[in-house]
Amino acid sequence: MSRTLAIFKRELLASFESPVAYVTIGLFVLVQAGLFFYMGYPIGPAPLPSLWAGGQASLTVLFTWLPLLLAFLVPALTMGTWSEERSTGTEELLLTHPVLIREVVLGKFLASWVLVCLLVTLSILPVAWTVSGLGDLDWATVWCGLGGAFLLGAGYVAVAQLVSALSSHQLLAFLLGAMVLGMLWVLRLLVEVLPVSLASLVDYACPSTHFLDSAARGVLDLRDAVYFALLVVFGLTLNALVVEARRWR
Amino acid sequence: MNSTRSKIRTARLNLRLNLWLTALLLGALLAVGNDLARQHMPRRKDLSEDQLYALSEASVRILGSLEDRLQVTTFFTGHMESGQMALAKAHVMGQLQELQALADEHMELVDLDPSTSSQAATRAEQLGIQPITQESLQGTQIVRQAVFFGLQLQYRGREQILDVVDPRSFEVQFASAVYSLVRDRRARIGWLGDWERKLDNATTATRSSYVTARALLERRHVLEDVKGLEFGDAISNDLDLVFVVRPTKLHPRAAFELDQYVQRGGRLVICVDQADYSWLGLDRAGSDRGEEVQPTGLDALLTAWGARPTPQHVWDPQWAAQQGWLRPQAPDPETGKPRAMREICEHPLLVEVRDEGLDPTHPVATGLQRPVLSWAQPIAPMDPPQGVTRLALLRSSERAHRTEIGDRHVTDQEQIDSRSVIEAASGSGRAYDLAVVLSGALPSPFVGAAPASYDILLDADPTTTKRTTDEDVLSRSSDARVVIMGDADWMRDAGNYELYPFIGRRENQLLLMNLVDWLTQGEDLIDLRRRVPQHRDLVDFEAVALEEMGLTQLPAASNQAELDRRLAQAEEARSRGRADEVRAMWIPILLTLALVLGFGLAWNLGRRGGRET
Repeated sequence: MSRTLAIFKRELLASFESPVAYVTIGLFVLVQAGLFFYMGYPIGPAPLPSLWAGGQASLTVLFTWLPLLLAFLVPALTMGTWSEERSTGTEELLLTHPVLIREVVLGKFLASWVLVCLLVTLSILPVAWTVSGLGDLDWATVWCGLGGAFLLGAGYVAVAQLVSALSSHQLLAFLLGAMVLGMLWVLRLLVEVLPVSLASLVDYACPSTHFLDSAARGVLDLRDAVYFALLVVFGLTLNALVVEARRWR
Repeated sequence: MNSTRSKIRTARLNLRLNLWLTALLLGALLAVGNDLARQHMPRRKDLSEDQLYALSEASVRILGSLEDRLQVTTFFTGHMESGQMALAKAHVMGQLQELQALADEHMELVDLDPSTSSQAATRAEQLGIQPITQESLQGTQIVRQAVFFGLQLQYRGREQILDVVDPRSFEVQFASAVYSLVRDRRARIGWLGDWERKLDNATTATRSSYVTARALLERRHVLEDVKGLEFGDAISNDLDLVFVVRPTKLHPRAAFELDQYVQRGGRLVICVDQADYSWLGLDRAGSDRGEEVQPTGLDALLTAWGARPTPQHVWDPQWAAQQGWLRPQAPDPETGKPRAMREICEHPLLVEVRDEGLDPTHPVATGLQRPVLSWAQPIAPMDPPQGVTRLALLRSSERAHRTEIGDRHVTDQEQIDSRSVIEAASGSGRAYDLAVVLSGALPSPFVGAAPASYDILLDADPTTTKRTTDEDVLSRSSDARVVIMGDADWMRDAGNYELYPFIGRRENQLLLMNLVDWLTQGEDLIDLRRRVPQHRDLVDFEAVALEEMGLTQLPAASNQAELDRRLAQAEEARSRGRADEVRAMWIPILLTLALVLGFGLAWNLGRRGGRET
C-alpha cells in the first residue's frame, strides 16, 4: 500500500508540474461555463435551455454536458499515464523496480482520478455558488451530482488509462481514449434506433446513463455504484495484464 | 539456443492467450455483476428537495393499508420494436417491483403478453385495454407497432384498469388506483350547471362547456347531475361533494337546497362567473368581447357566508398569462379554403397565480404551480361570520386592479400595456382574493323563511319567489367545508377559436383534483401529487434595475420630453441588468481560473526554488 501511495504521490505531483493540466482545467472551466450559461443542451430528444434562457436555478444543463466533456477531458489528462512512459523508455525502468504492477496501476489511477475530481469540483462548485446566489438552488442535488461525477470520472479514468497502456504515443492515446468514451456517450443517443434486444443492454452499458438518470438528479442508486466499481476493476485489471504482457515481450 | 527461443515464444503466446481469456472473463464478470445488481439491489435514495425520483410516503401509506392480496396483471407486449418503449416498459417493471417490495406479501404480479397469447389478448380486450400504435425508426424505415401497455388491479372482488400506463407518472397512476380499491366506495360528486356546449342563436359563438373537467372527475369518481332544486328536490346526502359551476339566476329554493346540503355536512365548490359574454367580436369586426353581468341567485347565501364575488374582473399585469386564439380571415381567394391567423398576447385578465398567491399551508395548494384563472372576479373582502374561518386559497399579485365587467377587453398587446401603465399610475394596486375556503359552522340566511319551491302557476318569474314556507331550517349545524371561486373558466374547455387550454393546463387539472381530494377526504392522493418540480426562479436583473431606478410605479408621462427621458432610463436599466448578469456569471469563473493559475505558479516556482537550493 505504501508503494501505491508513493506512486500516487509521484504521479500527482508530476501532474501539477505539467502545463497540460492547467491548460486543460482552464479550458474545461471556460467551455463548461459558456455551455451552461449561454448555450444550454441542444442534443437529443429533450433539449435543455441555457441558465439565462431557462430562468431556473438548476445545474441540470451542467451535469448533462459532463459525460461528454469528460469523455474528452479524461483522455487528455491520462494520455501520458503509460504511453509517455513507454515512448520515453521510463516504463522499463519503472517495471524493474521492486514494485508490483498492480500497485503501479492503482497508484497511477488514483493520481489521475484525484486530478479529475479536483477539476470537476473546480468547474461545478463556483457555478453552483453563482446560481445559488441568483435563486433557490437545490444543494442536495448538487452534492449528489458531484459525487456521481466522481464515480463517472473513476470509470472514465480506468478506461482511458487502459487505452493509454495499449498506445505507444500520447496523441494516439488521447484520440483512442476520446473515441472510446465518446462512443460510450453516443450509444445513449442511439437507443431509439437500435434493435430492441440491444436497446436495454446498451442503455445499461452506458456510463452516462448511470450518472444522468440518478446522481445528476439527486438520486443515490446502489446499482450505479456497483456498475462504476465493476468498470474500474475491469479497466484496471486489464491495464495491469497489458503492462504485464509487455514486460515479458 | 533455438529451443530457448521457442520456449520464450510459447511463453509469450501463452501470455497473450491468457490476456485475452482474462479480458473475456472480466467482461463476463462485468455483465453478470451488473445483471445481479440490477435484479437484486434496487436500493436508491432520492436526496433532492423535490423528491421526484423515489416512491413517496403517500405510496408507502397506501400500499401499507392493503389487508388482502392485491393482484396486478400486466398486459404488456413482450417484444417492443421501439427502443424507447422497451426502456419505458423496463422502467415501469422496475417500479412495480419496488412497489411489490413495499407491499410486502400483499401484492402479486402476473405478466401476460397479449401479443403472443390470444387468451391474454381476448382478456385485454374485455377489460378495455386496447393496443396503442408506436412508431420507431429502424435504419431508414419507420416501423409501426401496436403495443399493449395496460394493467389490471384486483382487490377484494373490485378492480381498476389502467388502459395505458404513463411511465412518467406511473406511481401516481398506480397508487391512485390502489387507493380507489382500498376505499370501500368511490366518491360521489354532484354537478349543478350547464356543461354541454351550446350554440347561441344562429351565430358561431358558443357557451362554455366542461366536458374535459367532467371526464377527469368521472375517471375516479361517480358523477351525477344535480337537478330539480328549484322544485324543492333536496340534494342527496349520498353525494360527497357538489360542484356549482357558473350559477346563473338560480331560484331562491335552489340556493336554499344548496345551503341545507352544506348544513347536513355536504361539501360544496361554487365557481362563479357572472359575465355573460359572447365571442362575436373574434370573428366579426374588432376584438372585443361583449359582456353583461348575470346574477347568480346566490348573493344572499354567499353574503351570509362572508365570501361574495363582486361583479368585476381582476386586471393583474404582473401575473398576466398568455392568451391565444385563431382569428378567422377571409377565405383563400385561390382555393377557397377557410383561413385563420394565430394571435397571442399576455393578458392581465388571465391571472397566472404564482407561489406568493397560493396559501402554502393548505392541502389544496400542495404541489400546485401557477394555475390560471381567466376573467376572474375578486371575492369581496368581508369579515366571515362568527365561528367561520375564511382562508384565501388563491390571490392575485399586489399590483392587481379591478375592472368592470363589460369594459372593452382589448387584445392588442400595446393597448394592454398602456392600460396597465395607467392603472399602475393610479397607485391603487392591491392583492385580491380569487378563491376562498370557508370552514366552520356556516350560518343559514334562510332561518325562519325558507323560500318556497318554484310553481309554474303561482310564480310569474322562474328565477325568484316571494313565497316562503315554515319548514325547519338547519343553521350552523355542521363543520362545513366550502370553496368559493371567483371564476368558472379555469375548468372549462377551450372554445372554437381559442388556443388557450383552460382545463387543458396541467396546473388547472391539478387544482381540480386537489380540490376534490381535499373535500372528499382523499388527502393521501394530494400528497402523491405533491411531487412536482418547484419553481426556482432566478433573479431578474432587469426588473431589479428598473425597481432601483424607480421606474416601476410611475404616473403617466405628462409630455413627450418626460416620456423620452423615461425611455432612456429604461434602456439604461436594461443595460445595467445585462451588465449585472455578466458580472454574476464571470466573477466566480475568473476567480476559479485565477486560483488555478496562482496555484500553478506558486507550486512550480516553489519546486524550482527548492531544486536550485
